[in-house]
Amino acid sequence: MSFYEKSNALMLAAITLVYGVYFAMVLGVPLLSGGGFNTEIGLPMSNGLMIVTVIALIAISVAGHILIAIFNRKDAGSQDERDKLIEMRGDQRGGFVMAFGAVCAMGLAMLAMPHFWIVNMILGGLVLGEIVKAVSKLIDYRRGVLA
Amino acid sequence: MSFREKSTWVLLAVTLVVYGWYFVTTLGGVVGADAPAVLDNVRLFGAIVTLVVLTIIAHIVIAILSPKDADQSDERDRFIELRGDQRGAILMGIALFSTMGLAMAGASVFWIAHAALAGLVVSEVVKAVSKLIDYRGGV
Repeated sequence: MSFYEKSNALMLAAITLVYGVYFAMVLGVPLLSGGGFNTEIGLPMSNGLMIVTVIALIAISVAGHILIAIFNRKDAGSQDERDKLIEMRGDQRGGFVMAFGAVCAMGLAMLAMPHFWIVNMILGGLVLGEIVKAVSKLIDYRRGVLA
Repeated sequence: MSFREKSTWVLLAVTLVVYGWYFVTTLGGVVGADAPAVLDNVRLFGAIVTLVVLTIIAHIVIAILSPKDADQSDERDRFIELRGDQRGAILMGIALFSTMGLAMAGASVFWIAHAALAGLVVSEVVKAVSKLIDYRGGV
């Protein structure tokens, strides 16, 4: 397993975990409160929680990469042709998902929906894009790519 | 010039003209004044539909003029496409993140929608320019 493959697996696990918890908390509340949810109060709450998730993600990522680099001192940070191609393919696929998220967010804004939903739609698009990217890389690393 | 290269030129030109016109006419009157509370959805839809129709017509024309290589793509085309899409995706990510910041700060939906649209347009332009440079310069 190359440095980049481990790094990718780490980021996939971290994102799924952190944003799984985030969306469970943020979307769980409006669903459980059965339509009586106040998006005016929800926005500052989800804003605060989102900043926490970003800090948590950065902390996990830095700590995890230091650990990976310590255990594989030899190939830390080095990227070959194959890594680059796999990265490009993943970025392309993730980009399509993000663009779809942007279109949906634009649609919500055009309908003048509450900001709470727009913010979380955009975050959903970004997170889903990252997950698709990471899964694409994971599959390409295991299965191999033509080139 | 391959089919893909012509197609990229067309997409770039149509995107610049249609959205250039849309943004100038929509935001031109807003600068210095208060932003409208809601969007003129008909205009925005009109711009998108115009873009799609013009792109389809142009592709039909390209395909008629050189039917042989229509819809063909080789290894080089695919690599250039991948690189362009990667660069566009990085920009899309930055733009979407900024749009989220606007929404978190409670900006008007007028600005949020236009920030999202601008992100989509700029990422398309970056994609097309990257591909055109790669086609000319080689990879």
